[in-house]
Amino acid sequence: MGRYLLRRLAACLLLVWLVLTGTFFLLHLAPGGPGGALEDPRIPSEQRLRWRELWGLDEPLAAQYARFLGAALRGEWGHSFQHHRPVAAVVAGALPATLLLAGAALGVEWTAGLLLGVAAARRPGSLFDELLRFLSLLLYSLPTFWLGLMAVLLFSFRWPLFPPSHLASVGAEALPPLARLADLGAHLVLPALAIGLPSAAALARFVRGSLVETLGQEFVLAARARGLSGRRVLWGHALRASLAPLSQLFGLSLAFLLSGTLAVEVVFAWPGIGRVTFDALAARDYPVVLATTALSATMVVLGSLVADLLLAWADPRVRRA
Amino acid sequence: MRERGGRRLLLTGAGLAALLLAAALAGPALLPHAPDTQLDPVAARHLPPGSTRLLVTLADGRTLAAERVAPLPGGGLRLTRLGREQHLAASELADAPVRPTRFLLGTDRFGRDLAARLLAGARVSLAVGLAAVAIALTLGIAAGSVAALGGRWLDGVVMRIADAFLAFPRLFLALAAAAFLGPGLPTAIAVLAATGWMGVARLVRAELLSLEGREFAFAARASGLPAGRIFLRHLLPNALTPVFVDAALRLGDTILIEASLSFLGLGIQPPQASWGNLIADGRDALASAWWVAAFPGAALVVAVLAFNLLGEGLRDALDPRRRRPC
Amino acid sequence: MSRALRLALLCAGALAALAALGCTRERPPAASSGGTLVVATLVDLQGVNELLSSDNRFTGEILELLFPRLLVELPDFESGPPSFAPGLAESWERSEDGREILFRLRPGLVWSDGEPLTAADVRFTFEAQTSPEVAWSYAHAKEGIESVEVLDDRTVRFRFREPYATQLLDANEGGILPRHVWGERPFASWREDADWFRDHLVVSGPFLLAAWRPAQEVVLARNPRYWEPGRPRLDRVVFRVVPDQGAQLAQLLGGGLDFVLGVPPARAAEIAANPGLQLFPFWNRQYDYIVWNTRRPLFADTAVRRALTLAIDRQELVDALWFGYARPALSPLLSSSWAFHRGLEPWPYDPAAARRLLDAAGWVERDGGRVKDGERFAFDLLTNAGNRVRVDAAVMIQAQLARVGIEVRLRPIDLNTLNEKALAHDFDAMLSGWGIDTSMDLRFAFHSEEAEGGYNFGGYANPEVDRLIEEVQRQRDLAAAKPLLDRLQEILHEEQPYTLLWEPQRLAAGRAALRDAQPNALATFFRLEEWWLAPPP
Repeated sequence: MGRYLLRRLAACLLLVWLVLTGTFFLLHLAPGGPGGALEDPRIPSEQRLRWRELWGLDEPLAAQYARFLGAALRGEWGHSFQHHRPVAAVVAGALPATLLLAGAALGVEWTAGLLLGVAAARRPGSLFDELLRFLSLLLYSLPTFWLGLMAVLLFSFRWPLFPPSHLASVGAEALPPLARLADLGAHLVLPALAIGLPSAAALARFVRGSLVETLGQEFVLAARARGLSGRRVLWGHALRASLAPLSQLFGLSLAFLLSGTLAVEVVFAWPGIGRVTFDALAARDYPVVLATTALSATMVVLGSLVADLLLAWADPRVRRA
Repeated sequence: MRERGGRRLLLTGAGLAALLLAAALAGPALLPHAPDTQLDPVAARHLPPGSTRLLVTLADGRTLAAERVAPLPGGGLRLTRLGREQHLAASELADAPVRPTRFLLGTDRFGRDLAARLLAGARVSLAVGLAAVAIALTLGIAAGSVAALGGRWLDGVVMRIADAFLAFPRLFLALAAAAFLGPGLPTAIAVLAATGWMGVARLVRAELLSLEGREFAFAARASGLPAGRIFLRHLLPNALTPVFVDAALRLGDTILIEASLSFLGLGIQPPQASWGNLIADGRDALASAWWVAAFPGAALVVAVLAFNLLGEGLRDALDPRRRRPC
Repeated sequence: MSRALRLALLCAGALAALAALGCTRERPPAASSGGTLVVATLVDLQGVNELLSSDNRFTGEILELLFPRLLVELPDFESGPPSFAPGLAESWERSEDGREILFRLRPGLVWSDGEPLTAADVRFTFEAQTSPEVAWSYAHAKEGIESVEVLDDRTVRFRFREPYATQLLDANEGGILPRHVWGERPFASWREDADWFRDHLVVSGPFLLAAWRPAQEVVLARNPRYWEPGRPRLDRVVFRVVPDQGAQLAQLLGGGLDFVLGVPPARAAEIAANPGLQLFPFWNRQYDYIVWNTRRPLFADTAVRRALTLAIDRQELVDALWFGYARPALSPLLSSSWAFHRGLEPWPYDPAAARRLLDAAGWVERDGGRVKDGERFAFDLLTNAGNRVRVDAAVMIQAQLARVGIEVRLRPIDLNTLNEKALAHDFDAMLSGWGIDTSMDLRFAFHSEEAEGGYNFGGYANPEVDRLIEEVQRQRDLAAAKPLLDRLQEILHEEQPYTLLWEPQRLAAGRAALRDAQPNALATFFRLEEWWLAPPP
């Protein structure tokens, strides 16, 4: 197990390095560079050249790459070109908002997904099951950003129930803690649903499938024969047996935690990592792009590792293999 | 019960998909306006769905959208436009100038017919989706075959490359591609294909590996058939069934991703319409003209749903072995 | 008394009169009852150190409120060259030889931490502005200044290498920074950590930075140590980042916002008609243009460039894209400025005349296009993808030029790529814009020396234009340069190195209760310390 883990971790490192190297060279070789629009004649191009020099962009590419790798190994990501702040501070500033949103979305996904999946699995083939199947396919087909826009249209503009954007209201910092929490919750509702519902649909389909399969297996039938109630069989035995593939799925949803929120962050003016990445790409803020790429690649790679480990933990057969 | 449900899905999906394809193909012939024609940016701007206007064509090619038109002696027209009266002499008008028009889905900020733009967007979104999936399939089948049959070392290399592509942020790839190739339709296809082949490769590889271990493969090898022939005649056709079932589902996903890239401004560029950039257009006017964002999104949902239904149905019908849990 | 000083006193008087006028309309509340103004912004603050932020207009405006300049430039460029009112400096004087300007600071100025603001701060600011390690965006403005000397706590002398027309404008560029705090950090490390300046923020303007939640909001609060008694009138100003104009307007209409900057022109009429709101249109110091690459044979011929201008219906662009809140541009000096040549005869939209010019230049019509020496008249038009007005304009121009047989291939591309192509003259034609200051300096875009590495993207070269541009900047009094500027504009009008498209207005909107707001082209939040909200009736 230990050697397996080490080998997997080494493979992860290799992958992240590959992705970062690809990103580095694509970024630097792409036509155009940082510096912003040429629409203010008072900023002469000599000054823009001076910035390139200060950013180290006039060195040979190989030297820049070596410097970048060396610094990255020491955990240094440099300074943002556009914000003049350490990249770590830029990322750390935006990460909590994204984690909050992704966490809430994950909550929606797993609560709704499990409930719907189990409900459908109880009477496979029934009209209810068919309906749920269609509904989950429909939900699964919804683009998150459009769902978000329509939610704003209906629940912010038509019936003003929830705020249409941001993470807090004006003056929220002056509220008592509980009211602030409520304010935050209200701001979370629409974006979390927009991200969570389509994924919940996918999850529900998965849960239903694996439950139906286990419910037909011998040990469940045996439990039934012993006279256990349908509910206990379902939640106690069958669901636990389906844990293995489910936990793998959970690992995978962690992997795409950071990349899944971007479009919704744009719609809801959510100050998260997706917006930071997007802005940095548009401004060619190389250090920030590289850092967020590293972060998201690490999440993807580690997420699939965690998925495999969870699978191994939940399913002894895999562990032995 | 299960089978019947599958067939129902298949039929619904196939029907919707056929309808969409037909609409996209017929596109321009269905409506009187080209999707880029700005009918009257001032008076036909953001007309709600179902509005009717009398379109008056002028001699210089421009169009005015009027609420009412009355003939004047001498061949001229008196039109009421935005509640104000305006007189036009016969010399200012084109031949057969007045055309009553109903805007089924309303108009956008330039008085462009949203229905026409929706259809134009359907062509683009479907074309991008189909092309990208076709390329991804080709790449994926090639890579998967090489990985499965090319020996341990090649397998490792190909699959690590696939992993790296999987970990590569699509957003970044889209932007880099736009910088290198210039944004637009071919770039969008390239980006979607480049980020879509890995799943296919994995599927093909897994299928081939499991088929290789089966009896008929042993038998074929024992009978002394050349390896290339075994691959082409026996292994590949058997491996492809699940791949094509998967392709229908993949098509839905690809269209969805294209829409979100275009929504973020990284995919199809205006004036070319795609459902994603139409929704982006509508976002700015969400409070005052809901239809601009709502209808393209609904079309997008229908298309993605159609391919998902189709994929699910196909899976149930063709490939009971690996029926996707539902 | 020098001319500049006389002018300054005049302007100060005018300003006082203006303020008095504001008071007679309706009496503002006592200073203590100011209230909170909530403003929407599309973008976030970039940082609190002006020398580190590049061309983000919003950041510049906020920082001007925190760090006032020596003088306040007045928005009267319609009537004459830049004029100024006292800011941190109460008076100024130019020496007889024109090489020195002496500024006298107000008595008793203090930073928000109570430390006095002195001439040493002014000198420190100059050092920071010109430090190559800081690499300030606008350092160029200080190139003509030889030294800044402290004569006493309240007196500082700017010495120039030679006298020129926009000395005062250049000397005044940039807010005064706190030496006693920021001077502790070596310039070499300024660009590394903008957060340090936020954590060590000391200001001298009417407002303090009370809170800054990145990508969410910027909160300004009254600076109790501000020198002007009774100002600011508002207690707090909250700038909310709402990166979507539609959402901004929705919130303004819903009552969640008091002031919105950047109303889409399409919705201006709706705002103007709403009794609960007021619209503030003002001419922006910006114009958009198409630059023709004169190094490409296609656009080397003046007659062809003129034909292109004649074939582009700029009024239609203005009507369709700006809903009347713009006008066709005529000259690179804005038509709202004093220096604009009113005698210019606008090139009309005249496709027939354009066809005649093209025919005469040898481009004959064939198969719906135009051909000369076997080559079709077709070119790429570049613009930055993502700028909707420009892409929309390019689409309309494509259709207009098609009517005279010219094929335009539309190329919306990423901004950074566009920059590189523009600087390398690697394009046929490009649709872009300039945001300009009041110096009336046309060197950057039209002097032939600026073609290599500078912003003369089209490679335009005309010795007479070069000579005139140089002569204008040598004048000691800009007003005296008017005949030279007129001649320059005539040549550019005749030769059309640019086809000028439009000069837009900027539209701001506020609640009807907002009083004494005077957003203008120099500063949207111009004299924000005077703004106040009338209590509900």
